Amino acid sequence: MDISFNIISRPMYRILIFCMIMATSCSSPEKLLNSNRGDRIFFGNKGGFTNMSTDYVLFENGSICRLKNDSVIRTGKVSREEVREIEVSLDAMNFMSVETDEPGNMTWYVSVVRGDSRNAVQWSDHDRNPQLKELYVRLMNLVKEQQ
Amino acid sequence: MNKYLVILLMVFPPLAASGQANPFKIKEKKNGTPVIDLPVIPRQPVSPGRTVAQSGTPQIRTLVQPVLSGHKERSTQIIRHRGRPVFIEKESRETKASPEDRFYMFLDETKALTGVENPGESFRITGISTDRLGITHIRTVQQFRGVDIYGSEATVHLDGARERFTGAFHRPDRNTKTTPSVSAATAVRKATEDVSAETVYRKLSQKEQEILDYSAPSTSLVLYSTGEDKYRLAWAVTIRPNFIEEWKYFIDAAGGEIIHKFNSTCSDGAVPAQAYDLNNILQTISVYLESGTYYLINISEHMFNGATDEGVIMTLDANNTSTTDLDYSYITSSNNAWPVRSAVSAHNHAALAYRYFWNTFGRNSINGRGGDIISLVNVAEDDGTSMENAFWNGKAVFYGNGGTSFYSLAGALDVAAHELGHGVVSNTANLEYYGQSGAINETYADIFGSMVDRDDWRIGEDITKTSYSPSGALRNMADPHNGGTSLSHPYWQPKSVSEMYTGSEDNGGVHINSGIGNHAYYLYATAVTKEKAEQVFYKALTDYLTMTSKFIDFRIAVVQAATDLYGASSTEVAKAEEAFTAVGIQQEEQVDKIQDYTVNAGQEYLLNYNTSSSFSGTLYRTSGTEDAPLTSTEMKGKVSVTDDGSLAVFVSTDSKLRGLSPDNASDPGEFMISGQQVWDNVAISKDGKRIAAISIYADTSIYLFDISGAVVRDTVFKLYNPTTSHYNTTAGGVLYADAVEFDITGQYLVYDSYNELTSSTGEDIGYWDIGIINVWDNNENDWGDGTISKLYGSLPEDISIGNPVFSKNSPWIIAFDYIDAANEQYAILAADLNAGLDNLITMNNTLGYPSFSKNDDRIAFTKADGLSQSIYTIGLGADKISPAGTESGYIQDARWPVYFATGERALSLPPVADFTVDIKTGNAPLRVKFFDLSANQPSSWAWTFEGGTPASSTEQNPVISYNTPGTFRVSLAASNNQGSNTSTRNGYIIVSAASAVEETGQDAIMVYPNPVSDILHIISETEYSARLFDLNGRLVHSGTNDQIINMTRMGKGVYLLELTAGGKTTRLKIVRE
Repeated sequence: MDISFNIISRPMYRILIFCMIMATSCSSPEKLLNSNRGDRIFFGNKGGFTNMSTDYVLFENGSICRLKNDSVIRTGKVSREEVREIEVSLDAMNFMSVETDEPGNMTWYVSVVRGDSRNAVQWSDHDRNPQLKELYVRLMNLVKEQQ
Repeated sequence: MNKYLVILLMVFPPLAASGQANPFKIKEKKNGTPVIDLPVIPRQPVSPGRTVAQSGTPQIRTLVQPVLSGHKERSTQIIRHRGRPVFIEKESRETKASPEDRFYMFLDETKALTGVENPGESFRITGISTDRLGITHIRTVQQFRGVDIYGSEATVHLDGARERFTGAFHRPDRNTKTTPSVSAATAVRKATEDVSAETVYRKLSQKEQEILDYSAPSTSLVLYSTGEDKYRLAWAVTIRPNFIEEWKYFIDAAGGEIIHKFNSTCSDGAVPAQAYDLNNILQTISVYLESGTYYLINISEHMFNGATDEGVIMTLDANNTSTTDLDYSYITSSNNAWPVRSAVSAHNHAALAYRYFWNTFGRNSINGRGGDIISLVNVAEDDGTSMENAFWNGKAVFYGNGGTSFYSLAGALDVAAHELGHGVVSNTANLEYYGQSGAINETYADIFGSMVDRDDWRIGEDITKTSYSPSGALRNMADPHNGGTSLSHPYWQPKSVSEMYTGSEDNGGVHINSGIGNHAYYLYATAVTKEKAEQVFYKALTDYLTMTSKFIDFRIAVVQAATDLYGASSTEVAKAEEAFTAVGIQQEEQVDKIQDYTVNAGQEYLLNYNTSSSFSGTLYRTSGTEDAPLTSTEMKGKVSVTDDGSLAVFVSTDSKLRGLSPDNASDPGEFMISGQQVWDNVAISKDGKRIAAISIYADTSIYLFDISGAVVRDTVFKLYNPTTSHYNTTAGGVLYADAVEFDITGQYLVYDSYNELTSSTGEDIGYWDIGIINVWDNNENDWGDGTISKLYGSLPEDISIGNPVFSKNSPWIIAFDYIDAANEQYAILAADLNAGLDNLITMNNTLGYPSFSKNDDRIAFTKADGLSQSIYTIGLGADKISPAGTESGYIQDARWPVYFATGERALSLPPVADFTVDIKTGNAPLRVKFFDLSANQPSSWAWTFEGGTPASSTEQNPVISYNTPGTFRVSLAASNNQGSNTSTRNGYIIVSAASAVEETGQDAIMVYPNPVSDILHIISETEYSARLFDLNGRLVHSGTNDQIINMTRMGKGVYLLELTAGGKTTRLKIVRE
């Protein structure tokens, strides 16, 4: 499934500089989308009245990049152990085989790229998808740790 | 060979039987799930709308409510609380009677529902008023033998074609005293003595008396409720012990003791408040006072039901939490001051939106049934930052406080109406939030937003920052381009189909393509007035649109709605057609796909079950003067017969499956199908190849057996209740099925099932309803996917339906039993599932178990006849769902009629070819997806596409590219084993000037291929520069004279290529596939 990213419209070099200043291993948004290096998890929400989206990506090495409309608000890094816990969660729920495609007025999504495999799920009712909600909350908690 | 001898290897654990009483049918079922050695096919839910046109699949329209119990515009709607009506709505009769008389006429006409025998003696009118919309409200208080019942206010509202009652009905015992023994003066003395002990008591000065318009305590004789239908005669005394306070006393009129008293100075309940909203406007809102605390809860709207406390408008504080960690609280005040302006805005706007739906459409709240409206403010993003959005989650509206691009979203009235509009859509057509249906969903939300915030056609203008959208509005229905030039501007929308987004972003462009429907509405409303347009579009939404409606369905629905309201040749219809044509939603060729099967030409008989002990036989075959017994085996229920009458199956009272040949009365040849004593009901397909059976266990299952081959195959389908929720939710509640019948194709079963749900008050509710399940696929010669559609989306309280049966020749016509348990009312109804209509055939006095005659011109049914039962028949009209004539008795002492005929006929039909597309007009290169809509299950397709690439296809739903301009013909030949049918449409695809070639003077730049999967070629004879942007306006490539752009690593979707040559810039839409 294609994922919508509201990538910044500023010149690429400013993104690179920003990421470098933050001492992360984030690449340019273009490379984020198209790079085949390493596993990564995209997550966020989209839709609503304004159709704005909030998008994050967690890399295998623990780097987190946030992409929101025209800005990169912040980046950060979590421990390898925390990344592994996420990976264990994904395996436990057999995420790569989950086929949840339930968009709504506001939609939440998680997309996982593992090597040549990719699986994306989206939902709009947390109550109907408690496992996905729990995964999403754990990913967002990693983001909140960086604040 | 007795191919029907089936050995069923099932082991059922010994379990106690459990009885389950219910108002419709009483079935003794065993608990638990039997251990079954069968391959269970997991239910494969079909995601509607994604592949559209399921060829041959019946358009099974889930009906709203049964015609007798509240089907819109045709009958009475009742809401009960604890068995008594608290809301009644019905059609008005044409009358010139005064409002007072109409009040009494209303109660007279509904006395069967209310139990009020003499409305004239039971109600006293206390006030009559007419509001600005012309609705007359007649307020009354109920009386018992001339004494007012305290707190019994009830109102009848006269609203044109509809009349409504709100309130409650009281039923004091006939022995309730109405003559006081204690005088009013004594009651005043007692109240005065008591209040003097409660507070400061002094005589008011003359001036104070004038100000308060009070000179002495007032008294009135009332009946005061002390519990369930218990009343005491009392003096209601209102007394002012001092200038500030007012007290109310209820003094028992027999013994003089105080029943109840309270200080009514600051009485609990609805109170007005004034507070500034986000726009710095002082608003008057309704709040709720309880025990000294004010809550942001509005109980003042029409929908509030004091008996159930439902129908509130409530605004809560999310305390800057998100939906993933929601921690909300009531918004309260100790002094009726409301400093949280976002809450004031949200609260006020919710009330305004409610009143819009109520006053404009008579729609009682978002769910149409007076349901609560909940708003939450101060909602944060999931990451804790401020949310620049608002949304509806199926239960409530969530408002963020904005940020860099938007102000606090609660500040806009159209935002509130937009989000609540989504709720209305969810509770009506429930348009799926994807693709064209999702765009229509968004269009309706914007329509409601612009109609509530009615002064302009801009959406979100009160909360959109110009830094985000230079126009200051998020969207503009009058000009969807909204100051932008392309998808690179997030505030830009297409204004016609030629600009439609066809990618997968934004759930297939729901927020993008809504501009097309928005503009159609704008054009229509401008032509016919907003007042007419909103009525037409609302009717289209509630009566005609369905979950997967496309743009063409939108046009058809609106035109039909306008036709219904204004007539086929009206200006309103013409303008609707013009509006949709103007945005590129063209008239689609209408193909009549409804076909009847050939009538069975054989001799017709009626099977019937004897109930008289005077005769030894049980099952009889009757025709004319013939009345032949076929067996004396006792049966649990009615038989099921193949189409040619060669085999009937039934369950005997010892729970075994048996069969016989009803076409041979002299030797029916009864035999055992299954000797295991585990069955409750059974049906056989019309072709005799499959059997469906229900066990004696409450196992939520239907067992299917394929007996067409040398080896019997079997499987089990699990029953579920699909809800009408936004998200294809399935709900539980189904316990077991009972009556079951195959349709003529053998692919679908119609069945009734017993359900139990727990209400919001914790009460268990049991009821029967009807579903249709796909059990077989004739094309695949294999089991179906088990998808279930329900006959009705919801049933009112105390209503059950069951014993469904298909007509003999029209696949979408069924008849069934209806029961209103509260009123012990039975009826037989019929429904046309294709047209979405239902109708009353006849009232009855017991379960009828209807059966259609071979010509579908008559229905036979069971009727109680004194102490026995008889079979009656009634004629049917040409539509097969209307009665013709009156019922007449046919067979005495008999029940469970089943018509059959002995001829042979084809049980499938040749296809009727039909198709549609996602887009019919546009610029080259134009990528068009075709959808097969052919009826009657074609198994092969042969498409030809004039001007298309490829020029032909054998796929069911092919995708074709049109790379050159022109007007092109499309042809589809759909075939199955019954024949073939071709649909050809000339001028169907219209492709405008190729965007792949742009001329700049004598030079040209050519770009190809489009769509592109890897390398995009650019050929130019002059120098040029190129820039490529993605959907979000991000520059992904730039260069000069590149000749190629490598898009291999770019994501799939739509891009914008900007070419500048010779001082002229051209922009092309490029699709990366």
